[in-house]
Amino acid sequence: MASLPPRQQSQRRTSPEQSSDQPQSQAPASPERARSATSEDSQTLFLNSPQQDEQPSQRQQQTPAPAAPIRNNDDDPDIKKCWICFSDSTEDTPETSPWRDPCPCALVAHEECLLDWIADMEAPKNSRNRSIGGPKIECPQCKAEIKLARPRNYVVDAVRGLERVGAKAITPGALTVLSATLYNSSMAWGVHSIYSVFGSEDGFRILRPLILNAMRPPVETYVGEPREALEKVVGVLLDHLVHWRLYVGLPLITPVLVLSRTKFADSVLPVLPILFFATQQHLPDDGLDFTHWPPSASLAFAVLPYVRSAYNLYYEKVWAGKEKRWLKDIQPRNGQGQNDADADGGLANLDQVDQAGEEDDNIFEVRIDGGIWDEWDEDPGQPQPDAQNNRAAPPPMPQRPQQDGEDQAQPPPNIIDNREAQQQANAAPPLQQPQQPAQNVQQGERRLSFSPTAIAETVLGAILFPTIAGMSGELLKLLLPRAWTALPAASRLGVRVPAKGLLQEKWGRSLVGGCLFVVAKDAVLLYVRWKMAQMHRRRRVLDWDRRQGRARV
Amino acid sequence: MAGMSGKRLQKELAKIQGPLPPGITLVSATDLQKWEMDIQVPDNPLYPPTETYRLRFNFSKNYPIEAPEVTFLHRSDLTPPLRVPMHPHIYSNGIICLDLLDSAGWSPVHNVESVCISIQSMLASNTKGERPPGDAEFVRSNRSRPRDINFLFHDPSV
Repeated sequence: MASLPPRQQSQRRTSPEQSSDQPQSQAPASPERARSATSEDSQTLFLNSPQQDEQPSQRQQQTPAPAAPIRNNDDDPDIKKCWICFSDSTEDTPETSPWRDPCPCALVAHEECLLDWIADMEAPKNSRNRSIGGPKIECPQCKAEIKLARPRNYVVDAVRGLERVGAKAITPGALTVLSATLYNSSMAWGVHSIYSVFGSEDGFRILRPLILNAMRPPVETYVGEPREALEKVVGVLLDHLVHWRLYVGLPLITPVLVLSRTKFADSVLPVLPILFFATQQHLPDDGLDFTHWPPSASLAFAVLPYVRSAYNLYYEKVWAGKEKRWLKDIQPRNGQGQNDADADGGLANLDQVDQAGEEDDNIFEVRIDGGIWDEWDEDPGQPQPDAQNNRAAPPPMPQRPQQDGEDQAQPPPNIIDNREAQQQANAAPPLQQPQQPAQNVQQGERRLSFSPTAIAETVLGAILFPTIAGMSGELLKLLLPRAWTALPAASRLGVRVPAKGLLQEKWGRSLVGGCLFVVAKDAVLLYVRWKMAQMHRRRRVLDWDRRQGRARV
Repeated sequence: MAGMSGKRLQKELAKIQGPLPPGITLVSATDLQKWEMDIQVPDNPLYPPTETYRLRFNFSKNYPIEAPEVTFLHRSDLTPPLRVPMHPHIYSNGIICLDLLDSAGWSPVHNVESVCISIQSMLASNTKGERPPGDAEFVRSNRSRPRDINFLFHDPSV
């Protein structure tokens, strides 16, 4: 049985139309409710059914009340019922706020109730949604927008508008900062690579425009002098345009280095030199001069992809089969070796590094775009207009770093592919022998290891290659006789004489050094594999020496 | 208008004294801010028609602008004991995950009766007699009131 709070008598009667808010009886759904429509106004209250004792006494103290006052009020279409506070228009006092009918459906409410409800809807419930302008206030039943007339204050509007714009600009701003950071760090590493390959003097010549611009004061300091500021801005823009290859190429060195270790590079790289040569518009001296030695820097680097492919081919044909066999020899004898991903994880890495080395040998990955090369080559004494330089193709850019990275990158995909392919070759008819790099790539990366260690190793190796190559070049300089590696004597007098041999230029040494490094690394690793396979066969298990309590020697 | 909750609750109480839909009964409303309603679920084999579930309604000063807090009561000391119905959106401590009861889905156009009807139909249309995923963890570690919990309503099929 429900227990009810004591019934309160409604005190808010001001009009003769008093609908009693009297709580109703507990009358069951019996039709006993005497609701007569014959009273002069439908608001009169009727006596309740005799089941409730207390109520009749209450009711008798008032004007006669209907048995179901609220029901009566509900049925009366003229009486407004606020859907928020559930009070009727019959209970209106002078303090009640006016009624409002803001939407097409039948819901009406007091203005104060509506404003309270709207304030709650617009309040920021979760800090994420604030100050975006708020959700639209919709009627819960008909979903029509409820419009408000607010007094306008321009300051408030302006500030809120600024807040909105600021909120929208956060994401693009964060992205901009992030990409600027990446750009600058790539640029810094690109500069480092150039220096390590080219040495200090040549490197400085290449990078000179960049260095001059790097430390200029930012434009804001010129705000006080607008004309100067404008000049500075225009100057900076022009400078960027002229030396665009520096600004675009240098940051690209790092990512292309890394990307070149993926399988994409194999199909792209050989195409780039063609593009490069095709777009070179000035062929005067250095460009395509195949007959003079040493080749120009651009030519040397442009040829690298082909050297790389040739090396890959050689490696495949000659060594890859043996290497696979050696690797397999170390595995358990049930021949699962190649498919045992875990066990091969480490070996796969080794393999990757292996083949990387072999393929990398002749391709040195420093990526310098042709434009830089042109400027640099012409510096010694041929002041050609920059316009010509600007026309050297971007392809050399992507080409070079890709070459490097590619060399090193190719091993991972290639090795995996090689092993897969070769395993099939072993099992199936040797028709599957063709292990062209391109085909390797197309056979798909079935087991490219995705472990973070492997990825980190690949990336780091790719990024560090310019430095390694530079150092190998220096090593070469130490090891080889002076005559081969020193510039002609006249240069010491201040006149720059073109070098007579590839090794006399620092970049040439770096190039050759890098290639030799890769070859040497490959050779060493192959030897290690071979030796391990040999030693593998000679292992013995030692018996436990029961007499002396230790392993029998 | 803080007095609004009292007035409106009285009106609702009065209305609820009258005929209610089948399966819904008022248990107590002695304290105007805390009501208890009993519901029974017709026509669903998961919930025997004789079994009654008790809902507690907690109203705040800002009712009806703020949604009431509705939970199932769990009393094993009574006979028959009160249990929390098995439903993928009802945790075993009685907390209900219903969009209607969240501040985003509530509007003052609803009332106690409509909430009871919604919960009743939520139970009646249920086919999975299981608890929500992570129920044990939630019951063990939850300290906030239902109104403070940010539910993620993502399952429209139940």
